[in-house]
Amino acid sequence: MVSKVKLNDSNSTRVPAGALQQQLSSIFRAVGTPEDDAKVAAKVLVSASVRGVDTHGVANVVGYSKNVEDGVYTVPQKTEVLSESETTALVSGGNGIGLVSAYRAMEMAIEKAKKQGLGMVSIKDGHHVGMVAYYAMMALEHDMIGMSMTTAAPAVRPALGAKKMMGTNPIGFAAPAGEERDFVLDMATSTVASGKVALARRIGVPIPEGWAVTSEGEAITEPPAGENETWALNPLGNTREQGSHKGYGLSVMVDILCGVLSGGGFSSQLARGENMSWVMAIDIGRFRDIDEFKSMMDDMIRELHATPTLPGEDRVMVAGDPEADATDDRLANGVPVENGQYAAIREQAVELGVEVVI
Amino acid sequence: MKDTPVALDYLKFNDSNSIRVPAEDLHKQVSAILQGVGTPEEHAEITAKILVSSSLRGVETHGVANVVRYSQSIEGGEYTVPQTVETISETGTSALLSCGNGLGFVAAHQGMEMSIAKAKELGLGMTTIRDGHHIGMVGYYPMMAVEQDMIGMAMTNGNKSVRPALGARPRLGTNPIAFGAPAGEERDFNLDMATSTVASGKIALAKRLGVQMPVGWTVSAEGEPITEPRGERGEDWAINPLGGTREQGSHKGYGLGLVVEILCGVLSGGGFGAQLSPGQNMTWTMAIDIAKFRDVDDFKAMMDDMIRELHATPTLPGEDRVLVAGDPEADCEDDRLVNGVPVENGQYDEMRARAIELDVEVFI
Repeated sequence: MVSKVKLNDSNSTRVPAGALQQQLSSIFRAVGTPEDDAKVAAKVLVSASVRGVDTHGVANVVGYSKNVEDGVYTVPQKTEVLSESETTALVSGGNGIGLVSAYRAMEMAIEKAKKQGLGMVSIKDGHHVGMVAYYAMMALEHDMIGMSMTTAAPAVRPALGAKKMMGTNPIGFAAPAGEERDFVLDMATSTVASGKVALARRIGVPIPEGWAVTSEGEAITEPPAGENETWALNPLGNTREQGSHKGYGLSVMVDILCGVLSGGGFSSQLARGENMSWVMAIDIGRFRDIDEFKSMMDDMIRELHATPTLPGEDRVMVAGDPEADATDDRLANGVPVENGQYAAIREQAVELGVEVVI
Repeated sequence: MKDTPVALDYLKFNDSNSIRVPAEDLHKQVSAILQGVGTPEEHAEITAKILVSSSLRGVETHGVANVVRYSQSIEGGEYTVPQTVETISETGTSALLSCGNGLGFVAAHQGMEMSIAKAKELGLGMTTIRDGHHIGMVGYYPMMAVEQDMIGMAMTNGNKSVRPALGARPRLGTNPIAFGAPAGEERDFNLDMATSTVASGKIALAKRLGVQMPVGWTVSAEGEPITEPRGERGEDWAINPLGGTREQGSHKGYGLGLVVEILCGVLSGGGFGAQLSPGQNMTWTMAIDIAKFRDVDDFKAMMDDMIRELHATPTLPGEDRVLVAGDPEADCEDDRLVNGVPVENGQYDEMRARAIELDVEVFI
């Protein structure tokens, strides 16, 4: 069932990543986004699509650019530093494109980590940041560990609770390997990301028990039509006995670092489309020799790959493997864009009077 | 969605299977036993404080009874005591420490003190600790930061007992994550969670008490659920990562488990779970000075708002109330500070026997 909610060549069109970058960038520019910011926003979205994270991919340019047009996003935006120390900053995303403020914030965190070993930035007045691991991954080329988190309006119930109170509040974490692929974790703190439920709905497949419950606590298998008060996603762990307080606890941790530390507000204070974020960079070289670090990462990853599998499973993977596989395929063969979304991107380009390059 | 009936409640001590002892007496007893095997007073006091705190907070698996085996590990030479916690590399914000193969508590406590001192100076502090042993309840260390109006984090790895997602052999430790943040009028937020479905201590406890485990906690090497708790660790069974199955997000618990391996084991160079022997544990701590971001009182007031809102969430049918991480432990502490700490009968006897054996004063 989980594999059924994937794009394939019959329901999508393959487009080269370069053309997608160009198309997205031109759409963002056409609604008034400065060129640098447009490129950044396009880069983050294309990266998600290249990595197979389609729910956070290129198709979102349509919604984002409409938000800019409608004034929901303030563009051109200013990333304003509200307070700062050697290692930390609190920034306002200026209600602009969330992708751009998170990107700028991670640049700041990396700069601080270069000077002081650690850098951390919490972001208020923000919007959707897309695939959260992107920002953690920015640290990798600097031989750093990166972390990133973001909140959202409620979709997930607390453990023992029956009403949605937290966003899916994902965590991103990236650490460089040597010869093996880098470790890249990107996970909602709910059992599933809300995008998966929406995708199941669109494709017309049931969802497994354990993903979502009604406000009476009954398991839902028919994906609900939209966000409302009659249902909630489960926190990772699902039930009391399987550790639902853990997914719940992690989700509140994300709210604290993104929403409370920044002052931007915790999940249940946020309107749909508002997202507070947090990023961090750790300079590995301050602790130990970077090559030794990477070689131990390699040893660990190889040991994990060599683990005997459960019956019926192919291989044990490490976080980032499926996305790296998708990247290999999609850079060579083009990025599959779901037919309806492909048409919507082209339509938005035509409407804005920019050249259609996909 | 009602949880299947489980014996979770049997995994708690009560007044029929345990004896209530005042916390101060337990502290004196634990410290005396540790000093009885040659631990310097200062290190014995730190260790006793953390073990008693676990027992007060209801985290029995990491509580005072462990002093018996720690003292045996010291006598057996597995722990080097007196230990020197050595700083291997250091910057304004970071330090790599060696625990010197001594008591894990001592190095983790020092690691968090250093993180806090660095955070006071520069906003953030981080330490990673190699050559270490068990640090007890990992949630203790973030609370040290919370007392200083900081956010604290701590993690620790351990010998392999948890399987990777899709894998059928243990390769990671239960690798807990702890996170603490101060509230104002409400209780502080204190998360302390294994990244597996269940901590190994709960399985050991189920075995000792002779109760079945729910499906979803552990599997055999063939991937079959195990409900009869096993004692010895081995390649023939493993604890499930948080999430349990592919469909329910086992890659998430597994991924978090690896974050812990990376920050504790790889960043320190002390080694990841599959490289560690039983009893070896590498540790990581971090402190974040809230005031560098925003006014601490404003932060705490927003924490209060959030906690109140969570407490007010309507519950699932049959549940009493929605809790926030740290609530059950704080409830327990309130009770135990007044009424004494319940120590399981067998463990109470063992501690006394150990004190007598070491010829130190019996306080309990």
